Amino acid sequence: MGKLLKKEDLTRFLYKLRQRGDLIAPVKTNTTRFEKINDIKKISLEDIPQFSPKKFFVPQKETILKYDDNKISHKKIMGEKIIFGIRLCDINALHRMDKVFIEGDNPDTYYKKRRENTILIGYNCEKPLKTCFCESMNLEPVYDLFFYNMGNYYYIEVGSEKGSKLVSRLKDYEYDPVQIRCEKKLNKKLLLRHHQKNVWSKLTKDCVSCGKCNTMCPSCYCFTIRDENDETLRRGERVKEWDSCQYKDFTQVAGGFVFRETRKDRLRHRIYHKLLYFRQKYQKDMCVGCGRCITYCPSKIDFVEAINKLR
Amino acid sequence: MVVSREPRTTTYTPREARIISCKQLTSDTYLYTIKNVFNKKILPGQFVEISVLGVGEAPISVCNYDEETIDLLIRSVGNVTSHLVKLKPKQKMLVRGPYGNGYPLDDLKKQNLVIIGGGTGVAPPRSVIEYVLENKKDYAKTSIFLGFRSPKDVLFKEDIVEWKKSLNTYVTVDKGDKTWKEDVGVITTLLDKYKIPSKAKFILCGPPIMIKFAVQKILEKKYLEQDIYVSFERNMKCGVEKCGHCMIHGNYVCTDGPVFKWDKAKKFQE
Ligand code: SF4
Ligand code: SF4
Ligand code: FES
Repeated sequence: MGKLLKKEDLTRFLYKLRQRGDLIAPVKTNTTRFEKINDIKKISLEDIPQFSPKKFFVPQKETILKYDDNKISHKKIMGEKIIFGIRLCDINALHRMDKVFIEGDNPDTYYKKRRENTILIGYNCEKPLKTCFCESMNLEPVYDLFFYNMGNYYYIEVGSEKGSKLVSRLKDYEYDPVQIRCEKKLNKKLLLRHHQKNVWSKLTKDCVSCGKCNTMCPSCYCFTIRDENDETLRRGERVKEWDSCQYKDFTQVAGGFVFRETRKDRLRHRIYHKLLYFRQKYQKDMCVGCGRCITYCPSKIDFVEAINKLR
Repeated sequence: MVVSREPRTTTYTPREARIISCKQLTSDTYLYTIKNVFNKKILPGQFVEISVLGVGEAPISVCNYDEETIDLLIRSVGNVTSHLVKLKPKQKMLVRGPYGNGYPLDDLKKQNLVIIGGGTGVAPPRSVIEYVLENKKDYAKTSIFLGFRSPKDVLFKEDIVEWKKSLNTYVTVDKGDKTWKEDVGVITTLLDKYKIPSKAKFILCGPPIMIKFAVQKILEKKYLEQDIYVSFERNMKCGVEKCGHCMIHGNYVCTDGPVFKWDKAKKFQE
């Protein structure tokens, strides 16, 4: 059972939501990306966003502590966020990052709070891109609400208790949405036991280790920790910053030794982490099939195609 | 509305620990004893992240501990460690941890132990040796084989004198000098020269090349893969299976390790 919302009532609906905290939704300029919304009319649901909203959960650079001489302090935990218009792949990417940052013995303080203080309202993709292969990636309905475009209406699927409270006043409606069909498919089974195959050398021949595949990926979360001093050299911040497993120094230890020396090793590690290692640990794939790492790779490296060719 | 507030501590916030003593062991390596400020129990083989504000953090393995103190062997090789070794007693060190699985002391009970350490890789097993000395009745025979580059690189000289009193302890150097009375040659030669019990558990820590040849030798002698414990070194930024840096073949060295059994570790591929 879901709900129905007249399109003309969307602004009012979002306006009310925004009273709870920051509203974050896709805005179209030269690209479509998630931004904090001041003017609700600027929201654009038309295109699949080029960038996922991951930076609102794992910022590119985030202060983990501040120091002044030897006195340590922390930045404040921020209030509620409403993410509107997020696609199912990006919703699942967050859900999979939750495994890393929230589950286990040492949850990440800031990430955990951010996720607890978030309402996720998704938007259905009607037409996948040529590079999308989410259909192969077992996406789950892990949202609070999910919007479907129905002409003059939105059909809203309720995915959580939290979500249900937000739409309790809206009209009930019954609808069975059609599942998205992607032309591109990934045959994951082929990946097993191919560690040494020369397919990896071939695939990485043109890789330039730029790390764009990590940056654009909604579920790549690896980071480094480093200190940034201000000009006094006494004050500064310890920051947690995006890092790339494609950079050579990613595995470098003090003294200089690098464990993943070749591009082949590094790119294969990324793909294996996405599709094998993560699953061994969390019973899900880290990759959600958004295809961004393929679209935005300067060398057009397509790991899906490469895997599908394995025998 | 959620009220914003400052957390008192976070996943990555270090604690202050007073430095009790500091001893220079070789030209670039120092043994620090700091106050044990953790409320978690430490295990031999675990590590901590130590930091210098304004410089950064580095993973350092615990090389001995009790309820009051923790020993850390710090070799000045990187940015952080070269700052760390400037710290003096009574000053504070910043630490978080302890992290990692450590050695499975219960599995090792009643067993003959063979401890093999090379260079600064002697540090993690040192806490096992000290543990064994304190709980001698729980363990059968223990032999220790240590390797260093040259006589002036030998670490824990005073401890070695103590260990020799009750455990079979052998030290070798790659290149000796006039004063050196003990063995010369790579560590594997010791494994041929001295008798090891026919059933034993092996604890290995040292440079990758030493591990490789020592494991080969042990397996040649028909010991079992699952009786060999190897401690891994990796780039470790977070220590809590988040940053991704330490991952090898899907295993987190910071939590699944740093100690792995060889039957598992032999399958690791970059
Ligand atoms: S985006 Fe492409 S070229 Fe850049 S690191 Fe990734 S695979 Fe290599
Ligand atoms: S397709 Fe590429 S960018 Fe998208 S989730 Fe998978 S690995 Fe990340
Ligand atoms: S050190 Fe960060 S994941 Fe292991």
